[in-house]
Amino acid sequence: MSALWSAIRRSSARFVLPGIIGIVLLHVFGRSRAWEHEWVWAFYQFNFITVMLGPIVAGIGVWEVQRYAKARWLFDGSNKRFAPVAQMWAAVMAWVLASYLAGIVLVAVLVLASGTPSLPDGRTWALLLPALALLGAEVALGVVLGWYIASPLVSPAVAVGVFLLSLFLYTQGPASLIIVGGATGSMFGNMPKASLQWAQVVGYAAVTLACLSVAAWWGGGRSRSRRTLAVGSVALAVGGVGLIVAQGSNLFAPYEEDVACYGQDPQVCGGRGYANGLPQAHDALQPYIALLSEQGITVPDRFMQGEDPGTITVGPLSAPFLSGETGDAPVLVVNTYLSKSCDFEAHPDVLDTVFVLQSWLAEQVGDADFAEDQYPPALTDGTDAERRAWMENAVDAVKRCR
Amino acid sequence: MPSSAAASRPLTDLWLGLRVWRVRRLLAWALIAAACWQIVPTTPIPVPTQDGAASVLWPLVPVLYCMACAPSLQRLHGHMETLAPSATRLRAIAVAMTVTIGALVGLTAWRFDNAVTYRNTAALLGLALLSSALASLRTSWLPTVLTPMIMWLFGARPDHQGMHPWAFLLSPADSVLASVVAVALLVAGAAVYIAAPRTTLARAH
Repeated sequence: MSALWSAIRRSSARFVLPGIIGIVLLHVFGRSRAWEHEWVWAFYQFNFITVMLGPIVAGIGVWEVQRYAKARWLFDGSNKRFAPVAQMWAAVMAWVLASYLAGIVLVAVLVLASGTPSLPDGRTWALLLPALALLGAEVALGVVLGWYIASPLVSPAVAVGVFLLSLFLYTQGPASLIIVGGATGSMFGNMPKASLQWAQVVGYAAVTLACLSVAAWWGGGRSRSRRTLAVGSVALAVGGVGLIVAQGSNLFAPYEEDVACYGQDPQVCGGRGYANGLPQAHDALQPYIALLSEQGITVPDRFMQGEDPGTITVGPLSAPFLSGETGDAPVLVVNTYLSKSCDFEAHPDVLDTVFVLQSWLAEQVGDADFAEDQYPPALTDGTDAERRAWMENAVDAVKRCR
Repeated sequence: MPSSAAASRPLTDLWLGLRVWRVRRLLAWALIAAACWQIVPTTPIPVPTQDGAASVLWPLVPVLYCMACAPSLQRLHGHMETLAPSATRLRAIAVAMTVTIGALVGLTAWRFDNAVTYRNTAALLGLALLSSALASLRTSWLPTVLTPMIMWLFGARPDHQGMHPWAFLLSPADSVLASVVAVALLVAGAAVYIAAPRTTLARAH
């Protein structure tokens, strides 16, 4: 243990710790922080840091083992070669783990500061494991390559290679091999599949073991046991990667969330983290619902975060809307009647109707941002009955669109 | 014969540099960069977790050559400079050679806007020269490699609204700011590398 502690204290990773912390801060503060109201989204989005940290820690893994190049003969002559190699890997990983956990603490503080009640459950904490396992595999890749090749050019080459491989897997697939985090929109009601997460943990751990055992096998006195371990762990790694790929391209599964609701006509419901925004959301939606009711239109009595558009009886709510961007109220109200499967290319007239409805409703409740130049005569010059008839027909047309 | 001895010094410097400086490896990475320019996509690639943001990869290809410069240039330090008739001249030759190879690599980017490829080569070479003089052998690659990655991942504005000005490596060819930054980096990098005191370089080695 003291040897490991000594290796950690002397690890090359400590020299680049300020850079790693800078990347963590850039990742947290340099992008949108809309995730502050959802624990799952917050942790999952933070995990996207693997795309930045992965290449760096792989390069540091190379550097770490290359520092021991002058003592290589000591390792090659020893019967215990796996332990020192694993120790070099662990020394880098300790610093990576510390930086990663510091980032998670920062994210947790921001989520709590936004008023999100309670702490994340065990399933949410488990989101951290695939990301850490992936970082471990990337460090191990650097360790094995640095062990074989002494050139100082290996570090940057491995870093660039890992970055390009990550981008390739993101864009060309199989994405499940690289995606352990990153979401641009709310994850309310969704969670990464548990089977995929465990497959990733097992697969990345197998890759790590394979890299370390191959590094331990290489060198003087290649014993049969070490060769068996190396070959076996490589086979295990191939199986682990296959296990991840076998999970398919659907990364998420439905997840039951705690919900908070507020008010009546309409009742507004969202994740507990958005509880503070519910009254504001209700007040923004209420005049639109009242106006539609006056026109004889069937209105939803409830708006629910995560609800699909076009449900009619329940309106949809978005995370930005619940976070205070209430200017989208007319869009959400009209989307209550508009199915996601509506093909606007086949029905361009429906798209025009949607815009007219949004604008007219917004104008009636005093929102000038949605002003439209041309309204149908029934809305501008018609009698009450003509206006109601036009509204009913328009909403029916929107409802029917598929 | 002092005149002939003086005339032979640059050649001696060059020969010493070629031997100790990892020119073959540098040329190998130059070839890899040239090959990469033949296969890298011309179209923008969606930036992960940035809605509506997409960015091209090809302006960042010079990093493949430039990342090899810092570790290679630092091979000139220490004993090499002690042996050389003039350390400053040796470093100047190294800079000139690096820039020349970089310019030759840029010629192979015929599929792309050469103004951008040369600008980015200059900027990244400047960064590599700076880190050669200021960072250790094992860390000198970090600024050259990290800068393009950060610019690509964080520099694109959402909804196809172009790039942030600070992501100058991905700015269009007519960006004055990007050109000024690139030239400034190259000049500063060359000046710092050539003028760095021996003690600094010894620590770097």
